Amino acid sequence: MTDSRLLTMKRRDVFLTAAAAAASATALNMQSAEAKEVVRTLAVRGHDGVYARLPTLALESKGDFYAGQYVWRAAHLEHAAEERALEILKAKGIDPKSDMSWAEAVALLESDPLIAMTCRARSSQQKLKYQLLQKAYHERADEFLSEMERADKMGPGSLELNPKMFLPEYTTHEIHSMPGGYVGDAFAGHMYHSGTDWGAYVDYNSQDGAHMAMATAAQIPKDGKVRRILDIGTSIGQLATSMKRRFPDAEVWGIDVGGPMVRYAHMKAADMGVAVNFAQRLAEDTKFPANHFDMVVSNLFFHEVSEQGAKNIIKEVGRILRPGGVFSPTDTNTPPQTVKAKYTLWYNYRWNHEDWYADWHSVDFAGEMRASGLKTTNLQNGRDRYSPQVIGVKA
Amino acid sequence: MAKSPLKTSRETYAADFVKADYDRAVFTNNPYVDSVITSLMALSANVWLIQRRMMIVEVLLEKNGAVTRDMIEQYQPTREEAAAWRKQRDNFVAEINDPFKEIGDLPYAASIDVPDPSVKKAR
Repeated sequence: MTDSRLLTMKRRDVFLTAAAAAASATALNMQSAEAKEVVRTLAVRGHDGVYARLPTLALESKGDFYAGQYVWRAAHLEHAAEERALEILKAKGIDPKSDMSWAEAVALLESDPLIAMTCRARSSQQKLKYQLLQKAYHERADEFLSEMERADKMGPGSLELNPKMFLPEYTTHEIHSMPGGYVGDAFAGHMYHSGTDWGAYVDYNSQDGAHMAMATAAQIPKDGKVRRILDIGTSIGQLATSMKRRFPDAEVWGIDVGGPMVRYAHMKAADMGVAVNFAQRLAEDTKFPANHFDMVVSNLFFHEVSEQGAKNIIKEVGRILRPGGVFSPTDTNTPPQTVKAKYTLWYNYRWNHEDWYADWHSVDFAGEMRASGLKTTNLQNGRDRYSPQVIGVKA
Repeated sequence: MAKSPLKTSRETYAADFVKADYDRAVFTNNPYVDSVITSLMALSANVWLIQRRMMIVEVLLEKNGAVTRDMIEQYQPTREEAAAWRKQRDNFVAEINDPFKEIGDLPYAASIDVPDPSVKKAR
């Protein structure tokens, strides 16, 4: 899809029209003055490319600070901590690339104040940014719930919500310290989008840049036929919409366990005018027929899944891919090479609540893929940060 | 299992979740030092917010000679402004944070000669 065809519909612009305001007032059972106020406050800040700007300048500006804080920490504080770790290990006569357990790495480095400060800075930033976002959306919950209720019914694309569905326990954790995790807050999608904008994806998120790069790099089946694509653990749908932009004639689905996540994903995609079908479903029980998809993709998904969950999901992927279909999971799967990297991984596991990091690093991902009927390739480290380390092709 | 703190009668599609304990972490040797670092970060975000708002007001005044609250809220910086403001932000963040990576390592008393004036130096 060309850029000119994108952004054909912006929910807040549509919301701004008198007709939409009247319809909204009726649909929401609101008085017209109240509806106008909703329209004014939600419409006032417009869009920045494909990104619906945050509701207030204050929120946007604080977020801008936290993004700067992230950049500074990654570039300067983490570097200083790396240097300090090297000094500590050198003083103890330990090779920085020694093969040791996480516990041994933690015991060596935990008492250094500079290294501890990197953890404090990470943790404080996570806490503050998510508190800020949750407070902002909860304070004006009715406005933002109204916006989502309206978007639920909008096209293009579709939305399926299953609020009564069974949630495996592992899916209900507060992953990376986001309040409520992916399932527990009405505004999980909103918080995730801004939270990743101000953190891990800084500069590559608001315009879906990282996801377009992944979609562009995604390997297609040898026969070139791409009619149906599934993004598992789609989160806010950035990879799914990017795949649709690369393959405009394909039927694209994005599924996620979090109802609020797929709601936001649908709202965002509809906003962009990109027709993706989003559904609240489990990746280990997708409900799709066997041999159905030409491509299954995922991004930053498996490190947030328990070991058993990962095994079940890979088995399901093996079922729903058609022969010759390609499975491309992209994730943070470079094994830690240094003592300091192990320490950082432990920090992320323990205090940033990446609760399934240890599972992710212990599961034999390629082996599970082969056991599920996939031939594996690209077993080395990824070609670049947007490429998967293991690709599976169904025999 | 924990529940969302949001009180509403509307359908939110939120489910119960397992609460994490990230709020309880102490990384320094004094929990209040941890709190001060977090507070400083929050304060800095608020200072930057004011600074950014002032930059917008200045741009609008230069362009229009007048501003309204809506004009400030809606203002979208040009590409050039965004780049310049980003540089300013990064300098601001560095000014606040650089001391955290330049910590001292000499204990304030143990490493210093403490002269005893009552003891006369041998001549």
